[in-house]
Amino acid sequence: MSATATISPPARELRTSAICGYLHRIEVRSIGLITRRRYWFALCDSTPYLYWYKDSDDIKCIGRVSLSGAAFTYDPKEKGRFEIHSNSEVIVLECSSDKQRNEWMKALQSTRKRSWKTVKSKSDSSLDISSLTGRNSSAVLEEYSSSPSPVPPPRSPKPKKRTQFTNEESVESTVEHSENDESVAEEVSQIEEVESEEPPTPTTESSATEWYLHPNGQLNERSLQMPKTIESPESVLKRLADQSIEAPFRAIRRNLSNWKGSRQNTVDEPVTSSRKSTALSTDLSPEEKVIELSDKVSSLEEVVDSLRAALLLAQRNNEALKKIEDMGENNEEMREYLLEKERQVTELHISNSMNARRARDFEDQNLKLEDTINDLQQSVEAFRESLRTKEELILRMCEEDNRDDLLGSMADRSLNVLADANGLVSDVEVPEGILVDVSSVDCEEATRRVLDEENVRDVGELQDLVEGYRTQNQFLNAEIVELHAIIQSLETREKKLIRQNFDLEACYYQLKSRYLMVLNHFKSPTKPGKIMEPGVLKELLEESARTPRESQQNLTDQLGFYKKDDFSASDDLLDTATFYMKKAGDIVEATKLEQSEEYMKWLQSWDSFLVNNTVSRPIGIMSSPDLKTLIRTGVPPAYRGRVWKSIVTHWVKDKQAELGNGYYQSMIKKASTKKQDGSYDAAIKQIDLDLARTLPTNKLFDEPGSANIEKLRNVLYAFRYHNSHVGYCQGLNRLAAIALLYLDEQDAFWFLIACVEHLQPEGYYTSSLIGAVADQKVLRDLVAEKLPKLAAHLRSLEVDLSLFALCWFLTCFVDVLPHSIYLTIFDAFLYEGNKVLFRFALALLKICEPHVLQCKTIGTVHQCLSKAQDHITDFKSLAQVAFNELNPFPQKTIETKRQLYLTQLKDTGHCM
Amino acid sequence: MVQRIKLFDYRKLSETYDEHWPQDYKTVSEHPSAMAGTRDYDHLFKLLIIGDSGVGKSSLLLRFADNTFSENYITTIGVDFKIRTMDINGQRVKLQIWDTAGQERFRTITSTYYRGTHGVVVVYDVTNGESFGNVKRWLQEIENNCDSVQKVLVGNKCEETDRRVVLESDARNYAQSMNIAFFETSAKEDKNVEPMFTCITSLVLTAKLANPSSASKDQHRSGGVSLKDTSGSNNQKKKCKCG
Repeated sequence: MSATATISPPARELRTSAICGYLHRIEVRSIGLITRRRYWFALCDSTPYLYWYKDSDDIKCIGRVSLSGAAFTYDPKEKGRFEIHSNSEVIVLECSSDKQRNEWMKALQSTRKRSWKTVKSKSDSSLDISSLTGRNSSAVLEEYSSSPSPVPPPRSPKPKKRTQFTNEESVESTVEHSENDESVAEEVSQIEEVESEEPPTPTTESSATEWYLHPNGQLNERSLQMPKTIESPESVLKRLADQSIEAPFRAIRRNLSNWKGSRQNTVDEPVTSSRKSTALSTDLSPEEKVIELSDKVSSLEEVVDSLRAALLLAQRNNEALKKIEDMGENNEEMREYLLEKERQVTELHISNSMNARRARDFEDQNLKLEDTINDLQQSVEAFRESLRTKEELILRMCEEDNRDDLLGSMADRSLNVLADANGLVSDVEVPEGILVDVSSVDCEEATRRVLDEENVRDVGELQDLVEGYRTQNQFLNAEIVELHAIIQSLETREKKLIRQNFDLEACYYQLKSRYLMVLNHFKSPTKPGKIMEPGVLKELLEESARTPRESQQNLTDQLGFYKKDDFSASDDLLDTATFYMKKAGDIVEATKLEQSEEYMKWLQSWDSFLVNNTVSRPIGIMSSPDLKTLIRTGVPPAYRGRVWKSIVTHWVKDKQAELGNGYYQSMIKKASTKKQDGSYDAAIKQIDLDLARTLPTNKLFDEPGSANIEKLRNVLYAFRYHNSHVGYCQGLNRLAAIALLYLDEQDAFWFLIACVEHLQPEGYYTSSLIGAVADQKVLRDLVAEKLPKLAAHLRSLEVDLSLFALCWFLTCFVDVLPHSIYLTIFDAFLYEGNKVLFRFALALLKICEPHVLQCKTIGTVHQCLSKAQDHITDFKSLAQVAFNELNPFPQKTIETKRQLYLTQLKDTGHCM
Repeated sequence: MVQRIKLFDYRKLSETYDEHWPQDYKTVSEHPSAMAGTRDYDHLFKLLIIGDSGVGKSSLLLRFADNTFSENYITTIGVDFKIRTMDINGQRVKLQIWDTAGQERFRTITSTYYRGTHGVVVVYDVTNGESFGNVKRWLQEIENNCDSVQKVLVGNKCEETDRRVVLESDARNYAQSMNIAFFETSAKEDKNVEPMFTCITSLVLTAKLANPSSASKDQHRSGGVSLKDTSGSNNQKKKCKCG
């Protein structure tokens, strides 16, 4: 499978998807105090991050948050406010209205979904690749250990286990949680119902997290519904009271027996028992905990007392024994006995102090828990109070207006609503404001009206709130479903990866052991014995012969360039070994680089820039020093197409507007009609000749029938008729081909126009190449200025620099340097123009300078410079020279020199 | 000079030498005399390959210098060059061969490289009549830029028998009429490439030996990019100053 095929589908998907809207945001941060700051937030489908910037046209972001594993939530009471939970980080955002909030939530969700899908498809494709190697390894495995192939995943019996677990725990957990939150208890029981109703079928996707869902991933019908029956607050309270009385008793009983047992068994080991009980206590509710802890404290105190007594006793014993020793009984046994005693004493000391500390800890905990209990009790009391007043109020209202059924029902509803709200969020404020004094019987009518209004408003508010909670509930349910799906897919992926990993590891160890065996065999030739079976070596050789054939599928990189494999099979085994060792080192190095922090930072800065740029300015790119710096670091290959297109559009947008939409097509048409007429055109003929001689190192161009040849022909034909002044100049084929690596035909056409008509000075590619020739003279002057030693050396040897450099300038280093480097040069060239070529030409010469200075003859200099690329290892070092070490590098000098030479050339009649 | 030739007699090799060319080349470049900075050759000649675009100039050079062939060599922008040393009648001759861009508009630049050239290889494509038709223009170009220079006419791609449009006899007759050597070569199948370069080199060598006075005239060439043609200069000059 080709690399391009696996990459393109998700990429296309991303491109077609709409980009979500943009809004100003107010961020609420809580660092001790709440600060509200305005930032510019941007969200783009292509990246799973939400970025924020100081301003709308900023390039560098202030911060970002990953959305791939994030959860979103909001509180209907807070207008326009929502939260993003990601990696244990909570970001609270606020927008002007609930409607906007909905838009943002939707956008956030869709981005998350997309990123997750991308990850999934990526992992699927990577699985395909690794399954190839897996098959290979499995073949190997079969050969030697006849182990089963790892393809069918074993059905894990996990779901069953899970249900068992919940059944065991359910009784306890309901009791424990019911005190804190009624709704949780309901949920738990609901889960139980679901799981007991649905027997764990073997077809279920294995997953450790069954929640609101059926095993097949469908939403449980009930989960989106509101709880059906809403209990009255009294009954809830009653139940709470019952449970809170009963539960602690049980806990105490259990703990006591626990404790007693442990004390009876080992006084020396209170550590384990207490740890056990604390472990238990973490699952218990505060009240239980308090009781339990106080119990423990008292028992610990007992232990401490007994230990103290023991200590005293031991001391006394010790003294007595010392006396015995003093009296002269110089007995060895006695001393040993004494030492033993003393050790015991110190041990007791230690355990005593430990116990004391633990006791103090428990006391602290106890105090804290008591505080919380008090708080809770107070809140319960307050809640009761408010309920009571409500009830009174309602009763009074009922008494006062028996006839009005509507009012009564409304009051009922308000009660229900209250209970409902209570069920959802425990700290809902009880709406106040129905404190109506109804003592004056005279104006009964007026009072009733006021009361009605108040009630209606009150009930209306509550209804709104209920509506808000309902939508929130629905939203959160949807969130759960989605996150659940994500978790499931991640789990399956993880399992797959782990399995693959195991397979690979097994394969690796098997190979290693076999090769070690071979090594051992040859190490001891004197006593061959039975170290190696006959046939093993042959199989190993066959296998190693098979491996390179498989790797042929990956002969080209993502852009279609053939990987340079300059290794010609050598007879010397050691040479081969060193070569492959170096290759392995290179691969490891490359992976390391891709994981390095610097690389990640670089990618992030580009992502940040592009998100803001695409969201707020879909067309074009603005010029700014920040962007210049960014582009000089190179564009990440994944973004290059987008960036290039934006820059090209920036240069040619006026021309595009002027020439209209179908301009490119009309130029192609013109070319084809002219060709059909049979009229001879030297430029067209030259293009046809050069098509096969463009980027021969690339799979997309290397043969007449290759994928991009036809596109290249179209682009060059169209350009020939677009710019008849230039027509076609050798070198343009390379520029167009590079453009076609990242852009489609039409954009490549505009790319060529941008290069020839905007980025390069006038007359670069025209029939006399006068611009390029003039620039060679400019370069010669600049070399004399910046690299005087080199210039002098070249002059003394009569080396003509333009022999090499003309090509550099006409093709922007395409096919002069390795493509990884010239593509990055192109990034800067597209943004800054021709001057960059001078920078890089000089940088190249500067790096070559020490080598050139060593050359004593014109021939060696020629050889050295024609292989300039051998001295360039990476773009970074080249860019460092080009953009930093060569400064100052004023455009004005180049421009004046250029004009000077241009007039000189024109005067002398350049076309000799 | 004669003594020096004797010195290198042990290296006298026949034409078959070329089959083992790469290895021997290696030893030459690593020869102690080369390390010491002294010359590892007796003569240094500059050859130029010209002709229409796409006739196979670069392929010929690649075949001759590296003994390789590639179906899709990149277009030559401006000028390219390669170096090879060969033995002609027991004398070590270092060849500096310049390969030029064929497209018309590069002619102003390539003409710079005619200066100091000892021999010119004019290439046409036997499957392309137009390229043969242009040979006259190329010969004129030589006349314009050089005084006296050895020439050879080469019809490349002779392996393409089906697509051939230029008959060998026609080309041979034309070459005879112009009094220049003629070869049909195939860079792809390595036909006649070596003999052709040997021929032009011996022609240059013979011319030099016949007129040693001109060879001793060591002219100073102006460095850098001088686009003005110095057509009055002696083309037999050498780069090695002690020659």
